[in-house]
Amino acid sequence: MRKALITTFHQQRHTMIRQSSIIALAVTLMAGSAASSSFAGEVTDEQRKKIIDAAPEKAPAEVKQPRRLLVFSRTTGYRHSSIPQGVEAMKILGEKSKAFTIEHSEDPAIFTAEKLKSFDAVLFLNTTGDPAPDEAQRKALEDFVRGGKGIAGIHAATDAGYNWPTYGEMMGGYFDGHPWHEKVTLKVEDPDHALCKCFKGDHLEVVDEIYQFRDKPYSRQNLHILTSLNTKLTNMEKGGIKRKDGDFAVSWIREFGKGRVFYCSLGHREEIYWNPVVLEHYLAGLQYAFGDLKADATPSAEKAIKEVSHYQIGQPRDAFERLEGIVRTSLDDETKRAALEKQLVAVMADPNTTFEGKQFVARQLWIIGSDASVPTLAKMLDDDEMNDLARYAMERMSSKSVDDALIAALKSTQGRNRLGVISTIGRRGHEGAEEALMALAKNNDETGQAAVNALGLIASPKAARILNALPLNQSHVADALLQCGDAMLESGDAQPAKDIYQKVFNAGDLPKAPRIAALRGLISADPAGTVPLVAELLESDDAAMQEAAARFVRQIDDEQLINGFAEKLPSLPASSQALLIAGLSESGSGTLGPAFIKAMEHGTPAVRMAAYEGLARLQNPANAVPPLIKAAATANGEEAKAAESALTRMRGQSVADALAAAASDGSVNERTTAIEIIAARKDSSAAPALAKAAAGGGDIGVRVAALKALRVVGGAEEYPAVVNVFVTENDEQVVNNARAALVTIARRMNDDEAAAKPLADAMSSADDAKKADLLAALGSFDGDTAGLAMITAYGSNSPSVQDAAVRAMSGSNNTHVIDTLRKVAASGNDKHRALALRGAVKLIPRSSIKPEAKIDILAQMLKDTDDVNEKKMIVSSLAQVPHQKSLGLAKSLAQDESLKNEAEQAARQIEAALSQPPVATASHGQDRVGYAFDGNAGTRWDTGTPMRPGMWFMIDFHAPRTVSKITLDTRGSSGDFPRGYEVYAGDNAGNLGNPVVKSNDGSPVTVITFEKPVTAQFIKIVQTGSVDGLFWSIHEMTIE
Amino acid sequence: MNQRKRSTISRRRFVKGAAASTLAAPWIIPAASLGNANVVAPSERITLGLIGCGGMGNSNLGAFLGQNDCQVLAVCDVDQNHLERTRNRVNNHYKADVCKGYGDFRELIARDDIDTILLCTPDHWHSIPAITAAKAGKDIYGEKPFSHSHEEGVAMCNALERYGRIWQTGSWQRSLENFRRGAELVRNGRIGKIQLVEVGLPTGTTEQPSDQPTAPPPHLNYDMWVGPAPYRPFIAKRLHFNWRWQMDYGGGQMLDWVGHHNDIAHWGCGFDYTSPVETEATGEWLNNHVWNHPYKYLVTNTYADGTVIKMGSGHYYPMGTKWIGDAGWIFVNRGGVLQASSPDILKEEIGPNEIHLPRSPGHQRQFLDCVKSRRTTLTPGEVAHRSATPGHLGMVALRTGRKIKFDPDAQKIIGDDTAQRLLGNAFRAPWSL
Repeated sequence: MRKALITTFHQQRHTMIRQSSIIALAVTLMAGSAASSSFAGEVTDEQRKKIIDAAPEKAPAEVKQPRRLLVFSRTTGYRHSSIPQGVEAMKILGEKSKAFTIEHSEDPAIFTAEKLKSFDAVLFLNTTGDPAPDEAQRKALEDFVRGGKGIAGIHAATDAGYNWPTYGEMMGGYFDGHPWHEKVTLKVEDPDHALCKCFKGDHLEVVDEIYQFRDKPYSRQNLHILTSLNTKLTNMEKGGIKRKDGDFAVSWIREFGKGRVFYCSLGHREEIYWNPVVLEHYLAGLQYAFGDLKADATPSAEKAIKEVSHYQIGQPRDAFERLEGIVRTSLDDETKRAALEKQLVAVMADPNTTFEGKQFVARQLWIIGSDASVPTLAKMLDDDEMNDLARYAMERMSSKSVDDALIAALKSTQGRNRLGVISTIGRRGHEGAEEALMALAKNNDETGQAAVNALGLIASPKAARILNALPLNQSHVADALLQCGDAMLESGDAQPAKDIYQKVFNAGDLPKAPRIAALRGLISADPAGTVPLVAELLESDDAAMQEAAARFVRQIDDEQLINGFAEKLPSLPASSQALLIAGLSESGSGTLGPAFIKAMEHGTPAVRMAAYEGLARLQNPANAVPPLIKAAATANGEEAKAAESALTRMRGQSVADALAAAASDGSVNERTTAIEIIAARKDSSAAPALAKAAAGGGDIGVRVAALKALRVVGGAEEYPAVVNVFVTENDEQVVNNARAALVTIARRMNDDEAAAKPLADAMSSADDAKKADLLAALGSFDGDTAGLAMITAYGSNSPSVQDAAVRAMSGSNNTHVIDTLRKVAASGNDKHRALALRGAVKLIPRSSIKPEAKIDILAQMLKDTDDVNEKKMIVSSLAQVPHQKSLGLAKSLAQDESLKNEAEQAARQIEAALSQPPVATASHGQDRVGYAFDGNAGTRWDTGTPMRPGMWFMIDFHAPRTVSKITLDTRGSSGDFPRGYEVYAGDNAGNLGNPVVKSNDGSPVTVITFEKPVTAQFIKIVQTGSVDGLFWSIHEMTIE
Repeated sequence: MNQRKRSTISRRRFVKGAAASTLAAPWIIPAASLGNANVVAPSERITLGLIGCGGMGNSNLGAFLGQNDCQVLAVCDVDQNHLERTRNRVNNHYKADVCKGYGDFRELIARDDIDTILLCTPDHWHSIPAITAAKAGKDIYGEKPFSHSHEEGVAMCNALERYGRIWQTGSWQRSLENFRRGAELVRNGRIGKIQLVEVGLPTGTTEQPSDQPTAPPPHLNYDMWVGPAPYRPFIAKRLHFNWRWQMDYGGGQMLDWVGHHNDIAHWGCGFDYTSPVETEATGEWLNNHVWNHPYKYLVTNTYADGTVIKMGSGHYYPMGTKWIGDAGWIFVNRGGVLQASSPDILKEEIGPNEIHLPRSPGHQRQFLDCVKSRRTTLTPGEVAHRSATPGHLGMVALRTGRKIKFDPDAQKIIGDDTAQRLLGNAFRAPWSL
């Protein structure tokens, strides 16, 4: 059995109350359960005192008779914890103002006609779910209100009765989420309204849940909105916002039958019930529901329309915005739309409506107008001031009544108004208006021209017939005819279209522009049949027709016809040759190649230039490469450049293949040109041909060009061939270019060990001279293989090989040879010592060993030499190892008079490096890295793409530094914190070893603390988590 | 309603031609057509008439005055002060009284000796002069956005096509290397398949002027200035430059810039000849008696291949175009900005058989070259119309609060008569399309 909870509040002074409490007790007994006051106790004394203090002394309206309010708070869904405070507030509100007394119930059994009789209004206080499950209960309440009583709702009263449509209609809306629970500003829409005087102004700031209502049944067309959310002062980026009209009403009233409704969505939080302004609003609302307080309940839409109709420039325009929103929401509800349209049309018809008001309404009718608007709008067509507005509203409506009204208006209107009507008929494309327009079209004036133009816009066969009967000596008639022709052609009616085009084209009295347009039509309608005409025009001396014929050739989608034109090129005047080449080339068809080549070989300079540009645009032009290469190799400067440009830009594998073939065939000059073009095209598909051209036996110039080109396009495939040239060739120029090529290709291969191997292997069988070449190349590689080969060569008995090895090692970037270089520097011959020392001091700062170790080595080297120049070199190397220790060493060396300058310079350099601000780099968002350190939490670094494992953020202190804690502040985009991370620390950015911190845990402020402080030049944070849809961001980063 | 059944008239080979032309590298001006590089015979010069002598008119005019194969013969404006200032500028440049002034564009277009029109009027005055000029056989350099309404844009495309005219739009970012290179990398898949493009446009003004209507000044033909747009009483603050804040004359910052950063977005995505299939928008409007435009807006356009282009005011994105693919992103903006998720992307070479977007010798220069060669420009009419379409659809989505479905071939809104209406509006008499 359902437990009934009934609480009565006795007010000893009032006998009425005693009577009703007896009734209430009876209800309780009927329900078979003991009455209990389960909530009263939950309101603390302190809260009660706050409510008593806040409640108004005086009701806004005179109490005509003692009023009884049923406070009903049944919940079958979410139960608000503030219900007891709400009930208590209602009790005190009534007591203190003496405006009413209450009875509280949660039992829907109270909804019978009999029991409701003793109440003046029912308040749904935070009801949720199903307030009245029984059909009879529902009807009793509906009848209660319809019969002239009141109903009120607070907060969740709209989160109830979803399966009781009349309840939703009556209460005014259904809850649809509460995007906000924060301090917001409400707009008092009507500050002078009887229920809004409590706000003493036009706004209220309040902290509470703010409701959003479903599109139905909430409507400003039914409700008189009292307060709403001021969206301009509210965060509108919140999740869950669904309404598109920005309309978030908070409180309202409406009439329902003979009864009255008041609703206010405030009332989620307990403290709302001791907010004096809200209590005053509740009280006024309840007095309205009782019938004590008279108030204007005109629906807001109607109010806005009235305001708009009176609008004059300079007045507030809130009503415009509201009405636009109402129009938008009416679009999905035919009943609402029709009702709104009716009201708007009435405003339009009202002679008292201002021009600005009508202009605005016309725009709304443009959106929602229908047949219902037409009689009113049609009357305005002969009003000089209103014609434009009426057409603005009507022109887009799909309605026969608009067509009829416009045709009628052709007769009733004059002058400018009639021109407007004609324009609108034309733009509507009204098939059926042709005859009405025909009479006007014959006029040789502005009206006639407008009618002809309209017939062109209608472009029906009938319009064409009428236009065909007019004298064809003016452009506008021709244009209208051409529009008809285009429409016919589009709908597959080629013959009549062609007739029109032919007629316009032949009309010699017309200016050239429409005849040119007719030519376009002729070519589109019958490409094959027009070939002789196009050819004739191209041969004529009419420049405009030449241009047009050449341009419209592109209308022809038939390769054979296009090639037919191309074949005619040599017989055409030079001026049209260039234009025709331009026109034809936009098809990109490779079969045009031979014709263009012929033009290039035999044309005038302008034609030749057009031919190069034309060839450049072709795809796989047949047989074009050899003659172009010839031109590029032999023509004068400008033409050679144009030929090169064409060769570089032509697309297609056949072009690449032909260039590859040309690289190995033809004169030296041509082969070289072909090879250079391949490089310019960056065409790696031709690389094998280049490797062949580079191989032994051929012309040195060609081989050098091929090697140079291989630097651009060569890959791992060509590498062995280049190495082979390098190993076997003796010509210095070839060897040097081969070395440059193999080094560049190896860099692209990005595998120094593999690249160095064939060179190292070749060492054993090479003679001394070749060994020197090989070593020069090996010096360019990093890694063990190259390092070992150089070290081994240094052990050779041959002084020239030893020499080459020292030179290679000292010039290299290979840190594997540092120890050997140090040995040479300590014990080799003088020439080697100098070279080796230079090499060693260059390599030591770059090596991956710890800075302290580098400094130790350099210090040792200083001890090992007495030569001042060598010492100076070592000091300059020391300058490149920023560290406190190197700084100390440099400073102490400055005591030595002979090293003073260099050591001081080194100390300055180290200090500068140490005091340099740290720099940060990141895998993503490098341009925004600075925002993580700009002291502004409003800006951020972010990855610009959802966080994924492997994303990183690295800091380079330039020298080791001790770090104990890193803080990543992401509060500005609180979802963007790392979901997991690893922190690395080290002195070699390329190898930071194992992570020093690992975590699977981040938060809007992520604090990374190290077990013990780390000292390192580089700190790198690597993302290990991932979240779809969220970037990784850092608003501010601090390092301690 | 018997509205037209078709959208643009057949392009046939034109589309293919334009696509093929994208492989162009440096534009070579045939030497013979230029004669001596410094002196061009008057008979060889391309003659030009400027319509609209405001900020953009004068800015473009400067570029054309600098081309020695171009001769400015006439200028036109409804504001006598603007007109005289600009006419004097031209005459001072040529050191001769060679430039004639007009108050009515129709008189300027009627001159047979003018080859090309430089069209720099406010948006509501784009379509009528453009179509009039096309019908008179002129080639046109016109400012963006291509048209004030979508329907006018379709009509303009048809007229340009029908009369075989050369058109270049003032979407000059296509002539700058950083935009070209960024778009080319995207077009060739260097950041993978494009998922999302973020297009950042400026935030519109939120100033609330309280200026009252006055009588128009005597040097202004105000009735002509209003032209085909609904009549409103004269308020100076609604004219020069500021017309864009009133939707009857302009399209706010969204339509002002849709022809720049969205145009670039389209270029990179290969959307030069298509439009979105779906559009949604949210925004906030400034609404006072002087101005009325969405100052804050976010438009989401979805294309047939699933690509989403989001176009938003400064509240949402920094200015520029950011293509986000499944293998990285590329961002371009004015000031030569070209950035990528990884520096390696920017080092990428474009192979000989890939798509090469054309390098431009300068936006105005390229127009003159195409006038001579009759080749298609970098930003021909339909390309510009397609670049602006997402803005037009965005406005409709904002006005109706609805998700719009669009057919890019028929260029019609699908299944929503209300939204379809808003793609165009009636003209004030006596003007018509």
